[in-house]
Amino acid sequence: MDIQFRQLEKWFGTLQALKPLSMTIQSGEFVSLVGPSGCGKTTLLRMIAGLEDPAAGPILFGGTPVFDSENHINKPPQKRKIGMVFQDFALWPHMTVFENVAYGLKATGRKREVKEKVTDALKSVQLDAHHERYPHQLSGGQQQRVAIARAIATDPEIILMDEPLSALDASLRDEMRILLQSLVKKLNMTAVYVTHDQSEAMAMSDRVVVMNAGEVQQTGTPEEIYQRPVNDTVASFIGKGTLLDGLVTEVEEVPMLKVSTEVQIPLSSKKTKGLKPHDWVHAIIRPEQVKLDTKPSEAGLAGVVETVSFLGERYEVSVKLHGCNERLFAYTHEKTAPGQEISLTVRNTIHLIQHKGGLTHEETA
Amino acid sequence: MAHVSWTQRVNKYLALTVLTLLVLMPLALVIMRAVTPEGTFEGFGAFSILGEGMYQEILLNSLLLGFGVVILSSFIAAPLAFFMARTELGRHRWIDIVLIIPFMTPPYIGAMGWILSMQSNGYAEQLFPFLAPVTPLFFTYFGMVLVMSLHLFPFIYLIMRNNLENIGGRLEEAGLIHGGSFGYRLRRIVLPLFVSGYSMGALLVFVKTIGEFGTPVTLGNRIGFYVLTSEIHRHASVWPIDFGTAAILSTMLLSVSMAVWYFQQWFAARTHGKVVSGKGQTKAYTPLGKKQIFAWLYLAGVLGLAIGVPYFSVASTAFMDVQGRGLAFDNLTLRHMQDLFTGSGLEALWNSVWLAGIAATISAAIGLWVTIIIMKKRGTVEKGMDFLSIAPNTVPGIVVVVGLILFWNAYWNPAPVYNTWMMLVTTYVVLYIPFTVQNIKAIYGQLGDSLFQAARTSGASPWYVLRTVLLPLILPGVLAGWIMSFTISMRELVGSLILRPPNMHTSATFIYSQFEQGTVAQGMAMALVTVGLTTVVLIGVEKMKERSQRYRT
Repeated sequence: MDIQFRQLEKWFGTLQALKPLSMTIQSGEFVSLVGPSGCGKTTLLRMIAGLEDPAAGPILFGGTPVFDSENHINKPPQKRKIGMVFQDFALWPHMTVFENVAYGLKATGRKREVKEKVTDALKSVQLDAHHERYPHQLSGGQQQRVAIARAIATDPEIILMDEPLSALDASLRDEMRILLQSLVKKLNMTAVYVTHDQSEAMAMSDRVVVMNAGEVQQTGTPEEIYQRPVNDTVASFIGKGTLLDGLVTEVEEVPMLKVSTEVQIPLSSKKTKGLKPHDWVHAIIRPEQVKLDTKPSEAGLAGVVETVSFLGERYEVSVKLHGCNERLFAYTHEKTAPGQEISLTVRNTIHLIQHKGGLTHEETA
Repeated sequence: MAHVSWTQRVNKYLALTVLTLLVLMPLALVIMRAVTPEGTFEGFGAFSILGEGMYQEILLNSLLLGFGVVILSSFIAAPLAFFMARTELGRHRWIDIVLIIPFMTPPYIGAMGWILSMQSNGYAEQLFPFLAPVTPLFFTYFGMVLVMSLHLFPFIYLIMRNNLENIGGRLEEAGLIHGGSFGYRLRRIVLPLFVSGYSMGALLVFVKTIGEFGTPVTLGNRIGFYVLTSEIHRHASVWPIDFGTAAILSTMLLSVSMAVWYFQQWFAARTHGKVVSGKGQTKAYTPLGKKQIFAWLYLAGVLGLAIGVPYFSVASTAFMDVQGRGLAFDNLTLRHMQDLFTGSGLEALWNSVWLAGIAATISAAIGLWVTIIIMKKRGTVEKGMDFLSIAPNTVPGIVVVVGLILFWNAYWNPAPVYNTWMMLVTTYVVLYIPFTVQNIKAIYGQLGDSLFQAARTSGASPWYVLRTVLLPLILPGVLAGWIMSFTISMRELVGSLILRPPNMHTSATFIYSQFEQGTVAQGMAMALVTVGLTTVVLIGVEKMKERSQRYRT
């Protein structure tokens, strides 16, 4: 079942929690809403659930409005036929695992299906052996699995998840992420997933919606968002990397990004399309686009190693560039030491974001 | 969700109306009557009678009593708080429970026990004849302060102990690590944090003292030490009845207690008074080693005075055959107990049980109703309801009682309640709604919103959520509230004394009248039975609470 909004917006007093937003979430699509806290992602999710009333704009499930201020339609949450997973699990402490999962079926009068559906749901989260326990007798990961079973037991076509993994340990989080991902796809549900963890969003979703200050910054596949962020906010929020301010000195023959007199990075002409010489741009440089060479060479950018972090399969190195006040990150398999002089080569396919305001270099430095 | 249905709105205003009738009207009438004592509006001019010598003395007495009790109860409590917060004694948590007993003992019973001990040829003189020159001192201001301090010190003890525990550990360690000397730490860390909490406790004890009725009416009246509460009682119930003056004095008490309440709210809202602490608070610890014995002796001494003396007197009197013969084993009898259960005492006890039972049920029901409304949303109306539901607990009982007379006995009030048993039920309900509300709120407040949202998104209607999620989860609070109002209603004195219909006794008025008439044995037998009964019920609650917590993490 698809979800559509048209000019959906929300105010909390004088604060605009969500600026008018129109979008369609396709049936069976896994969409993540991601952004810093207070960006409006949870508010948007809660409006889809019916836990929060929008100020304007219809919300349609499969073409049928569940909220439409003009026609005075506002289906309460219990009539929207959704499943929802909460950050704090929200298991009812006075009910057993079985009763928790059976709740939705009993509440909607589907008493005959209870046994079968609950058993199925618990099996799919591998908790069928624990159905007689109370929530407090389970571990955190098991509690969250009960919450997931509860959300899917009523066969909803839409499942909403509000930071479901943030209360779990890092080791459990990966396991649960895989369980959720496979379950949502297997049951062919339309999923809206809220998280502040961009790596989680990118790992799980078909499409990522990056939000900030009540406004959608960019919508796209994880690859699009990562490789071609539309603005600084998205670029700095998603993935690791450095934003460099620079001047495009040439766009056709030998395109070049000039950060300072000493720091100049060659660019691919594909990336400078639509730009004019002397345009100010932001370049987003990801660690995997930087090649580190321990032998200083004429072609590369010179710099000094600041920190070295061992990540298991490789090292992440932060390098302070000579000739400008910037720092780049690079991955390497070679061990380096802080203070070591090295040279960096940046791929010419780095993504450029055109400066809108036309600021001078001095002002942005 | 902002969408409020028609029924919800009706429900809300209905609850507001009930609270207005029960709480707001009586209290408002007290103030109205105070500014129109003789039927015509006099405004603040009416308060000029407070300048008369008699009233000046009464005000002064109340203030002196308040200050005396704050000072003495602080002195009693401070060493205990230190022992429990900082030394080996703190491991014995049962001490905390025992220390609550004096606070749970009805003050009038405590005062009667002390009077029986200290009166001429009382138990003190019988057991320790050398005390004879000292005992008359008890029948002065000092005796009043002693009895009331022994009743109220647990209150200040709990505040002091919590305070010391919070300050302890990390905060002091942090001061130590950052180089503070002992004196510097005491001056800059411990004292400022301690004083703020302590001053709040002292203020509350002060208000409780000047609003207290049981001791002034038993001991105070006997020795001619009249205070605001006993004076209000006299004007409201002894001929010539003068509600105008009673209302003026009540307004005095009302404004003091409201001012303190307001100050407390303001104080609690200030952020820097709170200790921000995470998990793993370590306790500061000062082992006493062998010197523990002094701490234990001190504790024994306090408990002896606060529990031993009054209960020994009450029990001795209840089981003594001929009062004049004094303490002797061959003077023991169960005669008074038998008389109690065959005579008018049984009726009074039974009256208390059923009146308290009805009152507790009604106040638990109203408490539940009101709490659900005020916890759902925080609008102006809800805040007003919250305030009204707690108000009877912050206002001295006697003020509420005067208000209830003014409201239910008014010529324009058509309800045939005054002078019937329903008046007593109403009184208990009004006085103890705060307990049920607070008990339910405490549990409700721990429930996250997501528990209810999860139920809504699972497809449950609001009514189904109420029935299957909210009610089962707050039931322990409802029961605790019920039992608390039941036990306190069982032995409530001030309202019962003034508002009971003619020829109807409750256990508290029975004890009081037996004591005043000099047939103390029956009265004390009743006191034992009442306290015993309520203790059993309270222990039952504790056990039940433990069990109801089984599914909580």
